[in-house]
Amino acid sequence: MNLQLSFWDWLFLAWFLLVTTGVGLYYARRAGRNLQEYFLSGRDLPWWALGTSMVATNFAADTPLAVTGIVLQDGIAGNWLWWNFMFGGTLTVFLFSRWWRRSHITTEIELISKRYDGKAASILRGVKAVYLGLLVNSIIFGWVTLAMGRILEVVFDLPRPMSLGILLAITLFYTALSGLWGVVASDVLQFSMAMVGAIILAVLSVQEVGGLEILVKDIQTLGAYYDKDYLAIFPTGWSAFTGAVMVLVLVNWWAVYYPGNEPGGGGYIAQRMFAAKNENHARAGTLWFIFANFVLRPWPWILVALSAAVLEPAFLAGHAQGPYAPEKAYPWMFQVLPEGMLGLVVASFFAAFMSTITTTLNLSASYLVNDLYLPLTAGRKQSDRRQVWVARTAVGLVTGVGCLVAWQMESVSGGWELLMDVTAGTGLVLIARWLWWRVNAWSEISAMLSSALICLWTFSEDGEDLLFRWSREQEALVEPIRLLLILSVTTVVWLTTTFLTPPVSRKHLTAFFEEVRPGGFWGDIDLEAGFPKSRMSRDLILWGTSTMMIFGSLFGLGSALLLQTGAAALFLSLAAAGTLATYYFMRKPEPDWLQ
Amino acid sequence: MRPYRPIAVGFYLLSLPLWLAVFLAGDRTGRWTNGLAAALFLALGFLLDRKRR
Repeated sequence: MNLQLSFWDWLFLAWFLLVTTGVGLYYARRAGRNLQEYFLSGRDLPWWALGTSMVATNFAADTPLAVTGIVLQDGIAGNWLWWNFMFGGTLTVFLFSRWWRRSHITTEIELISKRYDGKAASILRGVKAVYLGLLVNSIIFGWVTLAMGRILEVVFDLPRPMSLGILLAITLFYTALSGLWGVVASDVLQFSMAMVGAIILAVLSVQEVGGLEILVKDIQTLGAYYDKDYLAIFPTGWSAFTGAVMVLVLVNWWAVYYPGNEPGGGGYIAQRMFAAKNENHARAGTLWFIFANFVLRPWPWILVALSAAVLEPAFLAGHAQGPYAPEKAYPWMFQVLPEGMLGLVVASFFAAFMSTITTTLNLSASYLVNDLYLPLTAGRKQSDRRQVWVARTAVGLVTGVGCLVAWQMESVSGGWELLMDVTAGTGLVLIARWLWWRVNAWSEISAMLSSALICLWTFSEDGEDLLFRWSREQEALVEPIRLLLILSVTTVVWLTTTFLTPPVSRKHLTAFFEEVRPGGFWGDIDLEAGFPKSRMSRDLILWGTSTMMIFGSLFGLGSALLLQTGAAALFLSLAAAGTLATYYFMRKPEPDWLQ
Repeated sequence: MRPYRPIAVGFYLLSLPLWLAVFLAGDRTGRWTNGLAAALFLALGFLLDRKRR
């Protein structure tokens, strides 16, 4: 599949790279002042910028291809693979975002020192800086780079090493110099462009089929042939697929530390909350991210996938490789794009790639500098400018390691799957540390170790045998059962460890509570800190109403596009009720001590 | 103070080649798609340009 780019397409592509770099570089001087500016934009980000930056980062170059692949293999309901994270997303908005912002920290990892004390906390902080900063983010970097390289080569017929090299060099250049302001400013441009490109492609694809009515009718006919309901939003009937979706909905979103959907928030989501102007901007920005991520993004991709299937049914035949592999349906539809617009859509792929890479680099550097370099050089006097140059060097280091990982990574999905499985049991302890005073550094250490060890065991011969037996030889159930096994063992291990090890000192816990004012089970620490018993009922109600708002909007919009008027009316009514209730409870005055 | 002006300028600049493509496009689809994208970028740029802290 080789797309021929015209002069106008090339012009737009070159112009896009120039403009993005220019906007990023504009902020270089400001970023060079100190680390707060470099990593947190001087804690001055408005909600729309930080939320857009979150969703731009979550939107990698191969995300539209992955969603297309899911739709053509499992139907629209296959998207529950990632829709389940919405439950955790709204919980982060209404429970955790303010607690994160009140912590006044620079990185997610710094919370360890604020929440726990003793040597174990120091070791955990250093280990996590290397684990997340170098290992996890290098895998993300490698995975995203490898995927982009394949897209450049297979779809656009561009020589992989050269085009990828140019793209990476430009990205590294402005990320290293311009810090988070540059990253966020370019993210706003890049996400807008990616969405405009995706929506126009969806409109032209549906037009090519002959309109929505013909699209729906033809997909139903194809569905009858393949015995699959491609348009169903929820899994239908009892099958291994339904069982897998149920595990995802009930467990996945709070158990798995998935970058961008961390239980309780974390990674670049938390970094942008720290960078918000205040708590309200942190909360509103995260809510905008959830809305844009789950409601705005998927439908253009889904319509493109369905249109491709109607125009070329071979995409439904289940080819794993070759020109009719399901994920290739998305770029296959580029043939409907006119001159100039093709350049914009190709640039939107560059944009998606660059926005993910810039955040990964800035975030990794923040861990390595704030949580490893600064604690290790605590006694030494160093200027702000020197610290910023250390951060810039760290960006270069992470790029180098990420390139090595990309070079070594065998498959695009290999790195991702490993990342998901290794952390499968750690989500609960990350939530519990906000809500229960008894959690200590050893709880987190034991959860990380047991999750990784049990995960590796499940990939051994004995482990695979057991999973295969328990899943009754249903392949779709192997991964959900792996997740449940890792989660169960890890939970028992970290709870036992927590009760066997001494709690965090009362003085440390009181100081943490005074500053953050979280809810949950704090014994009498909340009273001792001078606050009434902590309550979360209002935030939990907001979690419920906002979840209704997001799901109602997501399915209402989809049902309307697929001409299912009854379902659309029902879901959009739910969305309206959820929105009104959310607005009502958000406006309700809070007690003084919570503000 | 207009802190978001650089982003606004970015949107203005991105719309430039799209306006050119509108005038030079050979077909109707080319004209309306490029025109729509260019107008959207211009509008976003304008909104951000007006926004103060």
